Amino acid sequence: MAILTIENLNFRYEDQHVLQDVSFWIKRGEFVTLFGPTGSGKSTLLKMLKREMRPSGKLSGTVYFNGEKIDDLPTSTTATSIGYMMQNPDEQMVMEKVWQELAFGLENMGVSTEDMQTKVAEVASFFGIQNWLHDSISDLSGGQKQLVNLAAVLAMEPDILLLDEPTSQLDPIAASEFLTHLEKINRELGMTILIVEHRLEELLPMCDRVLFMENGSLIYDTTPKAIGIFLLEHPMLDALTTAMRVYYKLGFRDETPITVRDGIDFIRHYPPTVLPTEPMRKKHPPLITVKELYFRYNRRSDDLLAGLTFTVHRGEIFTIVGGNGVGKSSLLRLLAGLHKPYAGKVWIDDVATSKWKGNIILLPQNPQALFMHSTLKEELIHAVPVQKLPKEQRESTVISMMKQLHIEHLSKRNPFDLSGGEQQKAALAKLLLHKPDILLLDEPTKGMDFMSKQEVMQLIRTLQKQNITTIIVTHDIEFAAEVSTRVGMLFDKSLIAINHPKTFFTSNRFYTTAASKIARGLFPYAITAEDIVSAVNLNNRRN
Amino acid sequence: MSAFSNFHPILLLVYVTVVLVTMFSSFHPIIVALALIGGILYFFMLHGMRTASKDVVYYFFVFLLIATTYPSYVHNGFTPLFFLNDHAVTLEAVTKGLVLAGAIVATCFWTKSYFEIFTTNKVLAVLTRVSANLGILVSMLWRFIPLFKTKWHEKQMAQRGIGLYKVNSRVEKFRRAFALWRQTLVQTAEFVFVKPDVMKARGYGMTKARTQYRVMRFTKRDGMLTIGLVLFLLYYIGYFSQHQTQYYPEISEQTLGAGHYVIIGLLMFYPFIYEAKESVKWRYLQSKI
Repeated sequence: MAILTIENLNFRYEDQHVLQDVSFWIKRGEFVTLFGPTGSGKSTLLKMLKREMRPSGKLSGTVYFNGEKIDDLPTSTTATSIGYMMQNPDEQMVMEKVWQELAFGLENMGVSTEDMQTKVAEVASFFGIQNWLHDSISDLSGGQKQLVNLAAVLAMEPDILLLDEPTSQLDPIAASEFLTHLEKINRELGMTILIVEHRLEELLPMCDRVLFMENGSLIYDTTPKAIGIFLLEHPMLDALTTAMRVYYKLGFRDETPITVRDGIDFIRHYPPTVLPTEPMRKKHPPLITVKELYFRYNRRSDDLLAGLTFTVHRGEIFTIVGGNGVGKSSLLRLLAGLHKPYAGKVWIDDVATSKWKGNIILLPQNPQALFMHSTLKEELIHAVPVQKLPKEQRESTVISMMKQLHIEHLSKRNPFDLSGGEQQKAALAKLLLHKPDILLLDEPTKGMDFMSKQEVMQLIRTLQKQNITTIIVTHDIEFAAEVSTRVGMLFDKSLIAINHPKTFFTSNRFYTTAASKIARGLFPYAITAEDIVSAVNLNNRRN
Repeated sequence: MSAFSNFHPILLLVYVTVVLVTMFSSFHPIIVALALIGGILYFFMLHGMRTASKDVVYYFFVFLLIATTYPSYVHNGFTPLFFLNDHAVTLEAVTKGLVLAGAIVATCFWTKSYFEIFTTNKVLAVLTRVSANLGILVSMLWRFIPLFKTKWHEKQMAQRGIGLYKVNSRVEKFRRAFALWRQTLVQTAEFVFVKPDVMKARGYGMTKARTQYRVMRFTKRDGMLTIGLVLFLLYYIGYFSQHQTQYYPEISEQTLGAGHYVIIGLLMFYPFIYEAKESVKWRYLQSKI
């Protein structure tokens, strides 16, 4: 029986048609992924299903929940039976302590104290939250916050769970952990799930159905195995899992592999090939030299970085990867001169950071911190470097910057209302107006869909041609593999294994891209889906 | 977690009202000093020596600032100490400045401690029965300051990272910092005002009969303490409305006996004493094991 039925849903916001004639239904116990390019109306569709979250606008069509019209249901049903999770964990939280957050919904329902304690205990134990039950919410990591949000929603025992890009603010490790929890509640508790997400690599193997949206319409409603066939000509094909991309790009059209394991099985029958490595580029002189750097936040804490030494050359795209809390962001702030090391020094062009004449610009982990105005255009026009230009040039400078990043259609929107990926691009636009010589990026691809990532990658490469040096800190290893000239791993207070990305990811077994895992032992130095495809093609040509 | 904070929220509210009202209605140097010391001691108990001493140093400067500014602008009083720009700096004004500074700083410490212990769930526990909307409103205002602080810190860091303060002119630096401060204020407000929807989406306001995960029962002890506090308040308000310390033209004669100071002192130090008692009890139990 359908738990949720949507019939001819239309939604207009001002003169914009956000949803057009959307109809579909979801069976009890199904795990459904909704995806599509940024701005296709996915989040809006999800909000239509949760009455309390509906934005103002003109709505027509009907939503049935358990066979009844959702607008006729009492508040007590819509608030408790439909669980909803937002992108930004902080927006959803209302209390100070973890246990208060878990109990909040149940308290609102008027559940008796004994029942409530059992329910909170259950849900906390299920997700392994019991050890930090009394911690302050503000001390939790992003991943922990989303887990608490999930647990708090589930404690109310909803019939269906709606999730709006729940992992967009999380690093990939926390993100895949979160998705694993979703799989667990779907498999073990039969929870019905509708999720809007970009991370298909992990999600497609676990879900039952895929919905694809574009320009406000629901275009495809199919299974994970079948979706690829529909997207063959669509750029979003590259958003699918690595195994699927390799399969379709090699021209196969039948039963596609989805997981890394399927992918390994699929390419095993090809003979091994070694991809030719690119000739080493002539190196520019060193630009940034870090020597024996030691840093800690205060006298009593442990060293966060110790004896850190490395050099970055002019025009490089240097990527630093590593786990949570190893000090990647702190390292970027040290390079930007926002923190001071207690021993060792950062040299740029043989002078100290503070005396260097060039422009060092840092993209913070939370791009929202950069925004100060109510529309994107104002945001950029009021950027300090633009204000220094003569009046008539300001407008054109800003517009050309927005064009470069493909965000000109967002110019009238409030930067805070943009999706995670759009915010990153808006922040990048603001940074680039400062004409940086050194660009420091802290998690630039957080919350971005595949297409936006490609754009950012193109942008960084263009900047490289202008001899701008970029240092990226990221958890996104697929991105690091494609964009960098060198990769280093920050581990145990120091930067280890600095290498060319092909060497770096080929020699890693666990901490590496999906493509490298698939190609392991067969095509050394293949670290992206494209690499595997070209390795196979190279083989075919040789034979 | 503080043991004092486990008292019933209503009692906690009555307590802090009594402390502040007694202090302001008397405006007596000793009583203000007692309230100040009591506030600081409890603050130490909540945060530990290291973190709390930072705040104490900061507020010491606030204290000095108020205490010195006040007598340099107000020149009432009989006893000139010295002359500043042809104006007398009087003993009375200096004393009042000290007391005023003490009262303001004491209020700051009590409020800071209460921000810590009077959590949103307590606000909701007290107010939902009265009105769900009031509960939302107050809990939002309650969250505002801590939230503003985090956002401000984050914004400062981010803007320094794109060189917002890389200008030579001090005035320009200040102007930019002020613009940022104003924006942070607006954004915090916007962030806080999304909360009603979120709270409603999670079922808040569905029923006034909201239950509690941690039962906050108003026990007999709470009742007795509340009545005691209210009587105390009535008595001293009655007294101080007649005998509030006057500073001009002369500092008024103090008629309060030493016994009263002991009682008021006990009141002001109560959270500290209670907290200390609990930790001593714990040490004692531990040594027995």
